[in-house]
Amino acid sequence: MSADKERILASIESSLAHISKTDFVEVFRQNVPFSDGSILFKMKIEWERNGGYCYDPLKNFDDLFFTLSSHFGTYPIGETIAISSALKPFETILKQRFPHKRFFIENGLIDQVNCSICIATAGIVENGTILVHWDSTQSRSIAVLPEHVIYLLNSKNIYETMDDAFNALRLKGISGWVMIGGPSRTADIEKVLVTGVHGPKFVSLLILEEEFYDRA
Amino acid sequence: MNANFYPNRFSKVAKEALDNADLQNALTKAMHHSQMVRNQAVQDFSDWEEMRNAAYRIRKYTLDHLDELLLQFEENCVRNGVQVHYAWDAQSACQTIHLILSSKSAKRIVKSKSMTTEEIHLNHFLESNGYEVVETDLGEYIVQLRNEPPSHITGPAIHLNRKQIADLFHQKLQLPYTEDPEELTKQARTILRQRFLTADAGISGVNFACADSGKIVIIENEGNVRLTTSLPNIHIALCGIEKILAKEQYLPLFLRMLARSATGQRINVYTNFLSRPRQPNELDGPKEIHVILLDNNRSKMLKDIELRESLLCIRCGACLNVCPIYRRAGGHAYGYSYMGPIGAVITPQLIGLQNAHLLPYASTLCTACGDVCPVKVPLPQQLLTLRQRIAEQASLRPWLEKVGFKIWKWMFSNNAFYVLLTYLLGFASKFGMMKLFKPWSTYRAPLRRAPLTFRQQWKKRTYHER
Amino acid sequence: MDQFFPDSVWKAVQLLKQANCDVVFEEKALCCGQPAFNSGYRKDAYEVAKPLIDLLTMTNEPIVVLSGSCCSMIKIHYHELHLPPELEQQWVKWKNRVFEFCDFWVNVLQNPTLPNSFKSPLRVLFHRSCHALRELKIVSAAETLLQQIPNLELVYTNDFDACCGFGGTFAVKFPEISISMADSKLDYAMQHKVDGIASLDMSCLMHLQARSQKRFLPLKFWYAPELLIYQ
Repeated sequence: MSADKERILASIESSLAHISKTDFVEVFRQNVPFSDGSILFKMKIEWERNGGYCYDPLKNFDDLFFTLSSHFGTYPIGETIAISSALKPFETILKQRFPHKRFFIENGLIDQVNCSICIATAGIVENGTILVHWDSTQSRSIAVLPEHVIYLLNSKNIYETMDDAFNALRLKGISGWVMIGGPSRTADIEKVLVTGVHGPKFVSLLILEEEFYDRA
Repeated sequence: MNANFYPNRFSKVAKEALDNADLQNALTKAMHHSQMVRNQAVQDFSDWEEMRNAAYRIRKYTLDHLDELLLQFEENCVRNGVQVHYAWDAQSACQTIHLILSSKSAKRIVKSKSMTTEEIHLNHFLESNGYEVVETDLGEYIVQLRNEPPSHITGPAIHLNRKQIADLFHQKLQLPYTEDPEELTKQARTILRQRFLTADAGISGVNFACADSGKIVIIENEGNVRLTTSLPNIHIALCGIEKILAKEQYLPLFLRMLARSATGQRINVYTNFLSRPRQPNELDGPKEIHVILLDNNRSKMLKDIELRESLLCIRCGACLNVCPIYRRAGGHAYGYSYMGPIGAVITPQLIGLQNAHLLPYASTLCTACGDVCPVKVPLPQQLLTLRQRIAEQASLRPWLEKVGFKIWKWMFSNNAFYVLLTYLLGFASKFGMMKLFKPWSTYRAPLRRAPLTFRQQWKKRTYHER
Repeated sequence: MDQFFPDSVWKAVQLLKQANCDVVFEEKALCCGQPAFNSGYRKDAYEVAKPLIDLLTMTNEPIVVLSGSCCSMIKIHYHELHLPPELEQQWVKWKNRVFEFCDFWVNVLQNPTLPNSFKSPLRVLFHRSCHALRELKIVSAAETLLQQIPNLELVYTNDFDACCGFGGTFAVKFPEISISMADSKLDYAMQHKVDGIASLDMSCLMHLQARSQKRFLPLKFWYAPELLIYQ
C-alpha cells in the first residue's frame, strides 16, 4: 500500500530525530580457523564433515568415468539421470560410457528423477560448503530436488572463506545463489537428526583439478 | 487485539505445561542438547566476543539509519525486478498479500517457516479467505496439523515427542503408524513434495535483506525454502523492516554466528541468496518476487532509547535455549509469536504493555540470555526497564505488591522501623505465622527468623567487649 | 542475612579477624534495594538504597558484602537507580572498593589463612549463583578456594540451568516454575549423594533450603566461605 510507505518512513524519521547515529562500521575480518594441508584436500575433509561424500580430486575423463561408475554402483540411483545443460558437451560420451543409464539435459522441473549432476560455482573451505548458482544453463531445482545430487567443482574455484567466495561470485556478475552444506536435514522430531527432508539425502562432490580442464 | 494472542495468561498456560510430563521431558532433552551443541560450536572462534561486538555495531548501524537503508534496499530491489511493498501493520500486510495472490488467482500456497508471518497471523487470514496454505518446514507442518502455533523460534515442534507426532500423522493423514523419525520425515516429504509441485505461490520470511544489493538471504536446513522460492510462479517474502543490513559484505559474520547460536552448526545446510525473478531464458523460478516490508510498531520501538536495542535481534533462539523459565513454561505460555526472553521483551513493545504485562516478570534475571545473545541485546536490562514501566502504571500491578513494597521501603530505610520489623518477624516465626504467606509456603518450608539477629548479637558482643 | 542467617555472618567476621582485618559493621546499612529494583519499583529502591549510598560514600575502607546478588546490585547496578549526578560520580569511585567476601578473600587478601580440614570427608554441591557467576565473575575464584580445603569434595552442577529459581518476587509470582527449578537443583544434589549445597548467594540458599525442608531432604546449606571454618 503506497500510503504505508510514507507513513512508515515518517514514523522512522521522527523516531530517529533525537538519536545520535552510529558511524559506518568496517567489515569485520576475523580469524577463521583452518586445518593444514592442500586446499583441495581441506575442501574434501570439510565437505565430508558436513555429511556429504567427496571423491579424490580428478585429473582426467578416465578418472571421472571411473568415479561415476563406482558411484553408480554404490548408490541405488535409478536409471534416469538429469544433467544440467552446462554439461551438454559430455552428454554423448556419458551415454556411450554408461549405456544402461538414461541421461537427459534438464529442462526445468525434474521431479521424477532420482539423481542429477550439476555444476558448483564455488567451494568454501571454511565451512565445507559449495555455492551453486542458476542461469540459462542450470535450473534452480536441479541442485535440490532429486534424492542424489552430484556436484562438479572446478578446483580453481575453491576459496578459503565465505568473504572470498562471495566476492568472487559478485565479480563474475552472479547475483543469486544458494550455499549448500551437506545433505538436507532436520532435527524437528525429538532433536533426532534425519537427513533427506525436502532436499537430497546423498550429496557427492567431484573436484576437478586444473589438469582436467587442460585436457578437456 | 487478536484473540489468538494471550500473553496475559502466562501463569495458567505455564502451569498446564508444568503438569504435562511429556512436554517437560521433550523440552528438557531438547534444550540441553541445544545448549550443549551451541557451546561447543562457539569455541571454533577465539574472538567470539569481538564478533559479538562487531555484530552489535553493524545491527545498531541499521537501526540508526533505517530510513535511508530501506529506500536504498527498495531502489536496488526494483532494479533487480523485485517488487517492494510497505505494510504499516498486520492487517495491511495481510491485505497486500491477498491482493498479490488474488490478482494472479493463486489458490494453493506453500509456506516456509517465518516468525513474522506468525506475528501477523497470516495462515488464519489466508485460510479464512479461501486459500489452501500448507507449512513445509517439518516442525511447522506438525504444529499446523495440530492447529497450534509454533513453540520455539527455530524448532516449532520442540514440545512434542515422537509418539505424539506418530499419532498425529496416523490420525490426521491416515498414514501407517510409525514412531521412527526417519520414516515420519519420509512420510511428510512425500506429501509435501506434491504440494510443492502444485503450488501457485510460495511465502517465506527473510533473515537478512542487504540494502546495497537488494539481495534477500533466507537460511534453512531442510530444503523447503529452496523449493518454496524455486518452484511456484509467485514468491512473496515477508520482511520486518529491521532485518536490513547495510552491506552484503557483513553477511559472512552473521552467517557464522547465526548458525552456531541457533543450532550449533557451523553453517546451515542451505543459505539462499535471492536477487531477481526468473529471466526469460531461465529454466525455472518465480516469475514475480514480492518483498513486503512490515512495520507493525517497529518504527515506534526505534524511538525508545532504553528498549530499541531489542530490534537488533536476529532470531537465533539461543536465549530460549538457555532460559530455565522457557524450558519449563514452554513456548505457548508466552502467548505470542515470540517466546522466551526475547519474546518477553518484544511482545510488550509490539502489542502494548497492558496486553503483556506478565511477560517481563517471567524471568529470574539470571542473565544467561544476555550472555549468549550473538548481537548483544541487553535482555536482562530490558526486562528490568519494562518492569519499571509496568510498576509505574498503577493499574497493571496487584495492590498487594505495591503496598508490600511501600512497607518494605519504610522498614528498610529507617533504623527504628527496621527494629520493629525484627520484632514482627520474631513474633511471626515464633507463632508459626510465616506459614500464612501462602505463595511462598505452599511449596516451601516457612522461613524462620534466627533467635537473635546478627545486629542484636553484634550489639551485645561489642557491649561486652567494652 | 541479619534476620535469617546470623551465624554465617559471624563466621565471615571470624575469618576476617583471623586474617588480621579490622571489621566494622555499620548498623545503618540495611538493604541494597535490590528486591524493589528487580521488581520495577525503582523509586522505592532508591529510597532504601540512599542511606547506604551516603554511608558508603563516606568510607575509605574496602567494603565487604556477603552475598553475590547484593554485591552486584551495589557494584554494577546502582547507576540504573538514576542517582543524582554527584552521587553517581562518587559511586563510580567507591564501587571499586566493593567486594564480595570470596573476591576479597582470594583477590585482595590472597588467601591469608589455611582452611581447616574436615574430620570426615564432605561432599558439597557448589551452586554457581547467577549474579556471582555472570555479573561479578567470581565463581571460579570461589571454586579454587574451596578446592583447597582438605577432605572436601566439590561436586559441580552441569553448566546449563544454573539458576535456582528464586529471582526475588519471581518466587512468589510464579511459584510453580520457581520450585520446579529448585527441584532440579535438589534432585541433582540427591542423585550425586552430597551432604549439602554451598553457594555465594544467601538468597538462593534460602530458597533452596526452604524447598528442601518442605521435601524433608537431608541436605545442609552453607554460605561458601563458611566452609573455611566449618567443623
